[in-house]
Amino acid sequence: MKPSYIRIPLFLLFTGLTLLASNAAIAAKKELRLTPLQNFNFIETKKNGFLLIELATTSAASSLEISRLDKKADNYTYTIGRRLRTDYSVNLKNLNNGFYVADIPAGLYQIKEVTAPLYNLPYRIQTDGRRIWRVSIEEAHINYAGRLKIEQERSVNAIDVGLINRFSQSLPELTQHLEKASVQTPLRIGLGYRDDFYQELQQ
Amino acid sequence: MMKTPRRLNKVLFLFVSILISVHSASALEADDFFNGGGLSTAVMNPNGQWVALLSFDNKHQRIEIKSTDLSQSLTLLDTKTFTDHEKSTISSMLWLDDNHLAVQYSLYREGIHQLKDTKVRHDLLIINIPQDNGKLLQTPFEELDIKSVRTSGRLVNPLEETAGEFLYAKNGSTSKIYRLKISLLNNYNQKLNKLTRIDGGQFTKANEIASINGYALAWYSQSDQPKAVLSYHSDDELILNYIDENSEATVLYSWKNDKVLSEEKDFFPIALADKANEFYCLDLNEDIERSIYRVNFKTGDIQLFYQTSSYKITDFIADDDNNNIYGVKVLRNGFIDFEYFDATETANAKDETSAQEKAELNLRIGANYSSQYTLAYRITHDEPGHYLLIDNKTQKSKLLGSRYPAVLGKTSSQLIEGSVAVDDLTIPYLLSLPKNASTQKAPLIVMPHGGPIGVHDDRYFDLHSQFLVEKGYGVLRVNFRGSSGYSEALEKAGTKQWGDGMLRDILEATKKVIAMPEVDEQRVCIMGFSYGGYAASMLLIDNPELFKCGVNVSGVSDLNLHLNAHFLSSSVDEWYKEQVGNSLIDYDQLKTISPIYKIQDLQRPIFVIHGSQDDIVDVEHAHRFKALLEKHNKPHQWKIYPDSGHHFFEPEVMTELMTTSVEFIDQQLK
Repeated sequence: MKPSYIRIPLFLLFTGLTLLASNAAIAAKKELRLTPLQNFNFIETKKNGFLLIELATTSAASSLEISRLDKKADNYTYTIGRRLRTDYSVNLKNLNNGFYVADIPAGLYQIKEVTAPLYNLPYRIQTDGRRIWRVSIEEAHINYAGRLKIEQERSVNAIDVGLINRFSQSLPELTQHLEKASVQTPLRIGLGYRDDFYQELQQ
Repeated sequence: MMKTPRRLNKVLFLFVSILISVHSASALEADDFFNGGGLSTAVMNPNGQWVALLSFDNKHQRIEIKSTDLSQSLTLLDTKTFTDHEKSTISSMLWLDDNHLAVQYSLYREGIHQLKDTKVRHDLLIINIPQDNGKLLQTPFEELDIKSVRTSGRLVNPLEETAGEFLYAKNGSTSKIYRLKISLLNNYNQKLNKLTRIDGGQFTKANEIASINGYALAWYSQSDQPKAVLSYHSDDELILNYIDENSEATVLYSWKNDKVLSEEKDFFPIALADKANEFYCLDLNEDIERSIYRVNFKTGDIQLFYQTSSYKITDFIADDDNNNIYGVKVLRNGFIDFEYFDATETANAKDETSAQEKAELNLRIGANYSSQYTLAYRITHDEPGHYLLIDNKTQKSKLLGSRYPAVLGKTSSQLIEGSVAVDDLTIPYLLSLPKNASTQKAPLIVMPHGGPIGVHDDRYFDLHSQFLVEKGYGVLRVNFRGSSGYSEALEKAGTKQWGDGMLRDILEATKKVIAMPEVDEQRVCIMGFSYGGYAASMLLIDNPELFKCGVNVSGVSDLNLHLNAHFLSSSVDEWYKEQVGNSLIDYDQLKTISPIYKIQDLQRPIFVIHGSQDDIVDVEHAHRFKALLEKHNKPHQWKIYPDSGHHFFEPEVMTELMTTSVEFIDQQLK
């Protein structure tokens, strides 16, 4: 048994570390800024990749909350065994539809929540239990994360939300953009599941 | 059981012979087949004066009243004009007495995907037929005398013999049946004030007919009397009660306390059968409700009774006593449709080789009280379903309408049913041939059905295959493993056989059929929708010596992409894992049975067709197909319909789709 005089400092230390950790968790939530593809400057940095997302929304003030699950981009079998913290928030307010890019550390991510206010009603959908809301970011790659659809229909008070793999459909337009900007960074499909289509197309 | 009288068969045969003899020999075009309009069902009032006809058009439904001598008619209700912009459907109609038609009408308000359910408002409309001394009066719908029941519940018995009254069930912690008078109900959409009594204040003890503790999910009546009730109780108990002559309820089966009837199935009684303790049931565990079972809740005897080839069963169609079933209401092309069968046949023939249906169906579906008139339904393999009014005194028949009026009496084909042995299974097939195939070999189009699990092609008139027959093709439809309609063993054999056994079944049936003298083995093409499109692509790639071309409509091209589709619910995701495979574990194997990863082996032209709004197989599949076809420089056509979904409900789109498909096939097989 340890002498009692160090119990108090240990307790205080533990408490302090817990508080620091929780503060760190809060502080860890960063805003991920999306830049239109045509304005983005692809400068590769160590351990980072580029998230490419296509917005197709009719919602004026949507946002996403994202959690990093694993450092490995291709750990597709990753099982969530904990409550996810929010590592990044993405504000989609006033963004036009089209392709957007963000610089982000490589790894496997989970979009855990989508907020899409329906006129005067707040609307949130929890997506943390669904693999199809995952994004895979590989270092030094442009990672196509899908088409984010958030559609509102006033006449029927409806919102349709989905992250859709439309890589092939979007590829001609995407290629045109990248070639125009002379981007050399390789493109890959970066949804949260294995998808060999682009490799097959390139072979 | 309701049987078709021999005399009726004779009359129907004579009538149809006349009908066919007068048809012109003019060539039918795609818009004759796919124009989207037709008659769904017909009901006759008790005195045989009027017939109500429910028709569907492209995007709306219409109820028309005709006099039985067909000299008068009026449009009573049209969903196109009855509401402004929201989707509405008529799911059923029946006569309450000689002058009142009850119409179950639903108004859909779309919900929020993955958040809010679609809201549906159900109205029971009771429409007084506008007439003056037997003369129908054309009346705008705003001026129709329409009553409705505002209290939540359902019509349980029309009491046809008692004019102006019917039985209505109201649910709550105690559920009751009331006898209501039509005349006391409020007008439809009438604004209520403090002085207005809702539904005429009729939900009182004095009007009560039966009562049960618990929330009644369904009442089952016979000869105007409730005979059983399925009720839900606060302690999570679901109970099926029998009701005796003294209105006393006794428990027949408790889902909580009694022995489970089946480990795999969860039976939900829909209607009384004609034997004690027996009910017609749906299986709630079935992926999509397509099967009816007869279940004895006392002995536990279970019998598969009927399986539809349509998308989903929503209700039963029974006779006035409510215990002779002769049809089902189904979802087809987004509408409630009416499908009839011979109940005496469906109870038999449950093996892999024999389907449930007779070669042709002549069915009595109604009669007036004096039995002067019979309402009949007839369908064969080459005649679309149609409704006849038969005057039993004069033996004369009158045509009321058809499911596909533009082609009735103008189509013909020869149907050959056969089977082929594959592995340990007997695989049934249906071969439709042009009438002249015995003198001139017919080129063949193989048409695997969609689904693929729990779906089948039946013997009766099939719009797409008959269209192709009219264009001079033989059409082969194979009920490969996984298909319903024959035996549970055949259906179960489809598990995880998407890219293997199912394709071999289609291939072996094709090989057998092309050896027949009526079929031109040098001119064979394969075309399919949904799974059929997938199968067409796979078989075309693997068998270029057999198939000269392929048409893939709404087909999966990349199985892993399909299994990771954004719209899959958790339950569907689980179902796919069991029936097809798990993309996380079986990725490489699923890739080997995905057409786009085999395109380098494609040797024959393919036509890929898809709808951009497809929420069953995403349009990305067609884009991937195109990208790889172009990469490998393979001959192909490709067409995307921007406003269409998986089923191409729009008549003009389906017309164009079938026309261009035939042009493509003609070109490849000329």
